[in-house]
Amino acid sequence: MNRHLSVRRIRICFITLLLGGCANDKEMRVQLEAHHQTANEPSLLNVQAQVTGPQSGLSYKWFSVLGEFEPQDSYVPRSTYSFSPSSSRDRIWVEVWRDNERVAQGELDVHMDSAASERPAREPPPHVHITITQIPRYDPAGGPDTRADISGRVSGDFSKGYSVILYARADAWYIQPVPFALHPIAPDSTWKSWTHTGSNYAALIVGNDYKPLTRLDVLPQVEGGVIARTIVEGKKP
Amino acid sequence: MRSPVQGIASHWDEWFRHEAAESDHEAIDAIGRSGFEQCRFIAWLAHRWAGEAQWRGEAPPARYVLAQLSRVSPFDKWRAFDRYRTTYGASGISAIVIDEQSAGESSDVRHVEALILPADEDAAAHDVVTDGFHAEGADLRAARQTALSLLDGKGLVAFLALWIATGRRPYPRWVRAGLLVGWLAVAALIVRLLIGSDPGGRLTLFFGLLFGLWSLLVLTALTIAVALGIQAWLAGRQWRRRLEEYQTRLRLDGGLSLQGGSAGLAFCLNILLATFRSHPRLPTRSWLWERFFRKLRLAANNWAATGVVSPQGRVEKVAIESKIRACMRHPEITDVLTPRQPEARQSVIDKLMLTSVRKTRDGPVSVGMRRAFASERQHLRSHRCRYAAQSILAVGDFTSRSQLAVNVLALGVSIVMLVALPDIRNVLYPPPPPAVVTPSSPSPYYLWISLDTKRPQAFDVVLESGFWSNRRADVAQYPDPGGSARAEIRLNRLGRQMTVDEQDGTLWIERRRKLLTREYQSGERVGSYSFSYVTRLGNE
Repeated sequence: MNRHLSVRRIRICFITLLLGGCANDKEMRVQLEAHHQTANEPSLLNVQAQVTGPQSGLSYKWFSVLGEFEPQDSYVPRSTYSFSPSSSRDRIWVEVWRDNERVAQGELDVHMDSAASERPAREPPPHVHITITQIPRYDPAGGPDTRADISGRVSGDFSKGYSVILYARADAWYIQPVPFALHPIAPDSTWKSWTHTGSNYAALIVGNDYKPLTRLDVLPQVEGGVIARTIVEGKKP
Repeated sequence: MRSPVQGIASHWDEWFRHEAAESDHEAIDAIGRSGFEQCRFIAWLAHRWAGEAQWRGEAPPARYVLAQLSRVSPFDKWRAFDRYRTTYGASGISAIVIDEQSAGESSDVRHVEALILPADEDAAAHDVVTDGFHAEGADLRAARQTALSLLDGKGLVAFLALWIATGRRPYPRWVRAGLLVGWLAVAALIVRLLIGSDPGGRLTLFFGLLFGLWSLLVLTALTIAVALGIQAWLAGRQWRRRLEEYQTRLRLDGGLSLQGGSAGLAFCLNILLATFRSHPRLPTRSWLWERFFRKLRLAANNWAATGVVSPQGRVEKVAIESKIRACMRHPEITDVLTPRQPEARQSVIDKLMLTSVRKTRDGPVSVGMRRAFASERQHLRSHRCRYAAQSILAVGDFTSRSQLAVNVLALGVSIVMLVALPDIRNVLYPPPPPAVVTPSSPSPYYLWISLDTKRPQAFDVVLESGFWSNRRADVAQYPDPGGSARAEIRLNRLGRQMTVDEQDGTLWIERRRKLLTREYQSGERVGSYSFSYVTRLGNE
């Protein structure tokens, strides 16, 4: 009897081990992300699915309650969504299919207002200027292994609620000194920080709720959340 | 008050002298007058009486009883008892005890006999009793203690460890050949996977075959080792209990008073043999012990031993040259157990054999004849032992060079397999696909792809972009406070980019397939994330 029980326990353990070893390695998970396509078209969203799980043979079907997707079926996890003229919010879905079987589904609530910060401001920007007074050295290679101090001054008509963001130019513009860094403006209207070096340096005044991009090919213009900017070449010896 | 077995001679003597009737005396005298009747009496005592008389649930040891009786009247005059006056008939490995005037003669190789008997109820009774010689109690106790340890203690552990490392196994020849082929196949498969062509889609099959075969071989080796070890331990434990409860009697003729404990190793082995002889058939059978005792009995006439045994089971060095010479001069000794000391090396003994005196066979030379030599080349094998456990290995002929070679191969292969086990596991039992999580890189020049996985070495990450250089990076566990598993990609803008969108790019999570230093083609892609999503992660 005991032997029978032991054998049974061993069998159960063995099967559990086998199943445990095989479990979840085909599990699919999907997460949706939506971004405003252009500043001038708040009703268009680029929707991207972040897909975890085996990638071979996947196709995607896009759904919404009110708006529409173009394309509605795709083999890449991207599509473009447009809000219906009568609504500013919606719920969107993506279904992930493989071999006529739905393997995952993700959903996201989207709002047209969510892109407001990227929308061009209707009112004229405050009359402000920003200058870089302490210019780091000119270093066209730039990169993560260098370091220099940078500081400047802000003048003009602005209230609290603004900060400075910095970029240094290497092969592209890189935010300084770390991603998403906002530098406060002191009461005496100065600001300072450190930066990795580059060939050029840029300072932008933005609202405190501004979400700066880490890397840029082209710096944003003075519009939307950006109320002033300056670009200087690094100091040559 | 002595027990019936221990005191059988005195009990008989008392009865014979004071209580036996005249008719009893006459009957005994009648038997004693005929050699045939004397032999019949001995046969009856050995086979009938010993078989029927029970002492503590066992038959009394007939040879011991005969030896006791041979010294009391009227048996001390019976010729049939002659041989029992000098021997128990339980000879084992000889001890080499050099006579005071001797420089190492064959007569210095002396038979040792051991018996274990139910102990006297006398509390003052010794654990070890000598018969025909005198030795220091500490030396005798050390020999007994070592025997106990070899049966169930550190000595047994040492013996089992040595046997596992170098000892032959009870496999049939075809199994032994099969195992050797199996280990060679595993080694060849590893070499093939390390330096051969990429197996591509058959990698899982190769890994499965490799792991399955290796597991089978390891399981077989472990099962045999553990099973035989447990059997030896169970049997040894029963013998140990018996040895602890019984009294040990050692016999060494010649009326010697031993100076030093160099006979300890011989005493120890003979105590083991006596313990086995007292109860040869245990409920638990042990291949290891059975082989050892079978060989030990066979070795009784041809093996000698010298060495001081410590209670910890070590065999300490002795003055050995004269003892080796004594063995060389002995016509029957072919093997000698010695401590591990330079003078006992086989090369030294072989050299000594060439320059040594010739062995002389016993026996008279006829009148008018002279002794002459036409001897074959003599050989004396030395078995050097640092521990008493090694003497078991030597006597039991457990050491096997072929098994040692297989063990070395198996050990090497197993070490490689153990190191490679995480890689094999990643292919045979892949972890679930991981998601990209925080932290993201603190430097704008790097992209960190942190994964929620406990097995980071099972994945690598590929960046495909029209703006940034394509990159491939291994995922590794980093020892920073968060302890994240991540791939770090240094970003570099393409010289001839295909898009102006700096957010362009897809990050693929791939299963990494490798074996030690060999990387194979990447496996299945199990995740795709947009460059912009990973860049923004942690800030939204």
